[in-house]
Amino acid sequence: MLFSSVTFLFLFLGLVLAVHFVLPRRARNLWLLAVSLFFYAWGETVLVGLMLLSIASNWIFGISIERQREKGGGRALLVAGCTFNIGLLVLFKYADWIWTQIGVLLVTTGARDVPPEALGALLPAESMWRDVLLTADGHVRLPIGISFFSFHALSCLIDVWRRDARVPRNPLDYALYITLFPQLVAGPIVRYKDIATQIVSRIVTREGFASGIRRFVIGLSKKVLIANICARGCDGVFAIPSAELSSQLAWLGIVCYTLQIYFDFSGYSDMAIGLGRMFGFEFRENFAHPYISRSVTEFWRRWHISLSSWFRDYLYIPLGGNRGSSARTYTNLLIVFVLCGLWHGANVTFLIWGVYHGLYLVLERAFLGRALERVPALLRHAYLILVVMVGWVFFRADTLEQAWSLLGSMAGRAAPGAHLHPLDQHLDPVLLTAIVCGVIGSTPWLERALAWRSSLEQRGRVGATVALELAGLGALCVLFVGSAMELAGASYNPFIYFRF
Amino acid sequence: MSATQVEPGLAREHAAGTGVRRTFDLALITLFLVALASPTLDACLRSVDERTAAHHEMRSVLEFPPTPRTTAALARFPTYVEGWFKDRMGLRDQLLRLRAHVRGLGFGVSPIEEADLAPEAWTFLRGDASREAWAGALTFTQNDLEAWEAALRSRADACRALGAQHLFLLGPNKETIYSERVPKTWHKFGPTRFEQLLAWLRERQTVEIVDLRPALWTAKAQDQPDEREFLYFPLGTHWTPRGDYVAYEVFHGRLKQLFPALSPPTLYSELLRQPFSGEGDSWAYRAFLEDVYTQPVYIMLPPKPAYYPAGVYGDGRRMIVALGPDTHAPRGILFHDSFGTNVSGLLAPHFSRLHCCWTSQLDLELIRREKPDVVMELYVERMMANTDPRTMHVTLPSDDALQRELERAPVFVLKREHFPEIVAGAGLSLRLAAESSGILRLRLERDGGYVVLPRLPEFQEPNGAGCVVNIEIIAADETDLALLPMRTGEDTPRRVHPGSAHLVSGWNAVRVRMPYIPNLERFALRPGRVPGRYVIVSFEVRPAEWDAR
Repeated sequence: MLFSSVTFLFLFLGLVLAVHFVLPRRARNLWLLAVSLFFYAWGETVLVGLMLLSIASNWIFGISIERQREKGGGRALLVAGCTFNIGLLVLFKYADWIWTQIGVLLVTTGARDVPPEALGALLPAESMWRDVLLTADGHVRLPIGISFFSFHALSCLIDVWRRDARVPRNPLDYALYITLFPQLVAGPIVRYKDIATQIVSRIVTREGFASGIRRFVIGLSKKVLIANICARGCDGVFAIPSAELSSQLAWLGIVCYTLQIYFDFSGYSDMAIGLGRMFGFEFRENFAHPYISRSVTEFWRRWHISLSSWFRDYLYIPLGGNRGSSARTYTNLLIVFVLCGLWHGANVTFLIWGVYHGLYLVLERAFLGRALERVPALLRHAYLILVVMVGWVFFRADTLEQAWSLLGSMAGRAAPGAHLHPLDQHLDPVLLTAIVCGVIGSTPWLERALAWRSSLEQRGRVGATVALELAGLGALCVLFVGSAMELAGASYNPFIYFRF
Repeated sequence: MSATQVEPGLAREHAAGTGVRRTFDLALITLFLVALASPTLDACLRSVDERTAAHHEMRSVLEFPPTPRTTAALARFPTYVEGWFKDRMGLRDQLLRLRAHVRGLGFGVSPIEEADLAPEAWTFLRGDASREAWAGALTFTQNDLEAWEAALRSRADACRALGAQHLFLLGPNKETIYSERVPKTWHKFGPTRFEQLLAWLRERQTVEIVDLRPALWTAKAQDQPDEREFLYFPLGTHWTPRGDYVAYEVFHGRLKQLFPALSPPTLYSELLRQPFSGEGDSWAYRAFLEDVYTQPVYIMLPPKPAYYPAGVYGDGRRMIVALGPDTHAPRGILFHDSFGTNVSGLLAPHFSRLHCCWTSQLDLELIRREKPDVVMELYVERMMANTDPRTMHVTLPSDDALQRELERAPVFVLKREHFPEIVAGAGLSLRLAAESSGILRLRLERDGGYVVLPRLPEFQEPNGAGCVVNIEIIAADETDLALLPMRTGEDTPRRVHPGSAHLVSGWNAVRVRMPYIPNLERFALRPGRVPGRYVIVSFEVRPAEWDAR
């Protein structure tokens, strides 16, 4: 169940909120745990068992590490716990891909004539586990949110080992930390130490609840009114064969994707943060207007902050960070970004995307950063946008060939069939509006407007404050109705009776 | 709540504010909760029929899925429930309408992907790759053209071999006739597939497609834009009654060449204009813009319409058999798509019997059975966008032995000379129609009533595969037909091994397969469970072995 679905919005959320605030405080965690498991089971049905196994195992690992740590030991348990979580991730997310790559390698080297059967073929045909673990085409199923809940669990184990956090004695509290539905399937990656006290005791204030609504509605509209509309534009372009793709359409496609991925992901994070606030939780920010950055280094301070800080704290710094030689620092950076790329998906395109960003970070640290400081801010900004957009080509493409082909089109390669896809058939007024709103929405104008409102309030300008509040309330209403409207539109399913 | 974890910008965002902020916070919370609850409230206040948008989507609302009993069913269950909820969600129709107005009127963009909006409140179909086909972006290769030519020739040859003339008509897409009205985003690059194929066939002269475009272009001069009177529905894709009439005129002209004694055409002025309830062929209706985009909707009926019941085949294909007033007029079959439904009504009075079948598959078995004088095919141009010509190819059995066997096949067909043998059983009255077509009219007075049919020839092979019974029957209501075998020496039908078929209201062509029954002598037919009138148009029995061929 997506936050941006009518089922979530008009069925699940209202019911969960109503019961949550009717229940006594001591029962609220249990309710949230129950609905979070239901939320997960709605999307993963049987594989909810896998998450329960992960929760139970990690809680036992955590408790055991904590006890052993008091006695000066626990390293073996930490290694076992990390191996368990990484093992789950590898098994469900990467095993199929690795198996396929091995097959390709065997065929390429002549060791085999044909690649081995898919990994799923190892399960007996009559096994009931096939339905549970495999997709219809025989591939290993990727459980929703496994990358997130595995990283949650890892951060908790490592923090316990570092004595930065204590595992809750009540396993239900730990289960709630892992499963809490606002952040379960798409983050942000929440560290246990950040919300440990909130799980035990939290207060929902009127201001907090209202601010949660604001954030949720903004996130919803970012996802539905910008990301989804840009997605349609992008998908249309990426479906065009390279021989028919003009340069202008290729650029339109990647501009759409650049906005889609930001507004999709940051919109989801906004919704998660907003929902968290409605239930009394405060999650860390996950995005800070990354497209206003002027270097790749700055971009990664603003993009998917919870992931980049996770890699920084649990991988980059333990590897030595920038405390060693330059070569060592560059190596560490590349290792982090290779893994960061692969975290996003098991495909060589993600690997290339990670290496690409890692290389730019290395270059900026080596000399490019200093050189950039000497050029005008606008050029630095253009540099960043260009680098990021080229990176998104690899991120979005299904294969490397498609990525190279799109880059070729962006570079102006002639396409004999380009006339078959005129620009105006793809760039309609709705998409154009979404792009313009997306570009404006990528800047921190809202924060500035809020700061202006606060200053007006502090100066006692009641009339202006009321007018601004009214405008804000009206805007939120428009955004909510507009989003609901688009969600209803997504459910429109006409039957074309005269198909032959 | 831990304030230390809140970043500076965020802290500003929800710092406890003044009374103004508190008032607006309360208003926002109230509005949000009301918004979350409003679809549920609407669902309580309006019934599913009132609030559903499914009639705009021309489909039924989804039912709640059954309780899952397998792992696979469990995995699909949430998706089905979400589909069920989406269909029944309160305010869905209002939200869809609002979206349509915002997109359609605010941005000038079609709210649905299936159709594009054009100037002066016209819509053009996007589905079936119509835009690309019109633009010339989808072109046939030489292999495609050869395959189409071969397919059309095979159909004409098959019809001629079965003793029927063959006419193949393609109705042009709306944009072919009204290309000046297409949306501004539609650009033309080259010839359409239709144009390519026509040119190819004209050059080769092996088979003909009747081209309706010249007649439509000529008739277009009579359009009345102020009244929104055109040859095609400006909001739909199909012909208006005027467009249907132009196609009918062309049809009639070609038929007249084949059958000089054909009755003269009905004049357009002779047709009776009847109002039509509903939106007619309108994408605006499907897009929730029917309150803004309108068009005149009416139907034109022949002054003396043929006897014209409609029904469906057992396999779901729509069919109509029209019985014209002149029993000496030609017999015809019309295979068609949605463009043929109204044209068939205009053509029917010129035929003694016109069997219309909504399919692009040339049903050779139907042609054999109907023995028509002419087989006509009428499809719309856009069928070429997604039809593989190889699927259009037909092959007549070339085996002479099979042909001889076909002729010898011990088929029993109910004819007028059999009528004296027919006996009405209890609970059923019988009227034997005098028409040469051998129609049998029955009146079922109570459930259980039956009619005993004539003796069958001995064609069942011992321990063979039984027989197949083809029945064309008109029923007033939806019901179940039963076929009861009677063995030698039996006076009343047996309840053992009955055959059955479900009937819809209207015309039915049902096929009942019966097992091998030793000493089968005749059948009794219980036409239905619902008392009322039934008409048996045809009744045919044949051995299953023969049928399998």
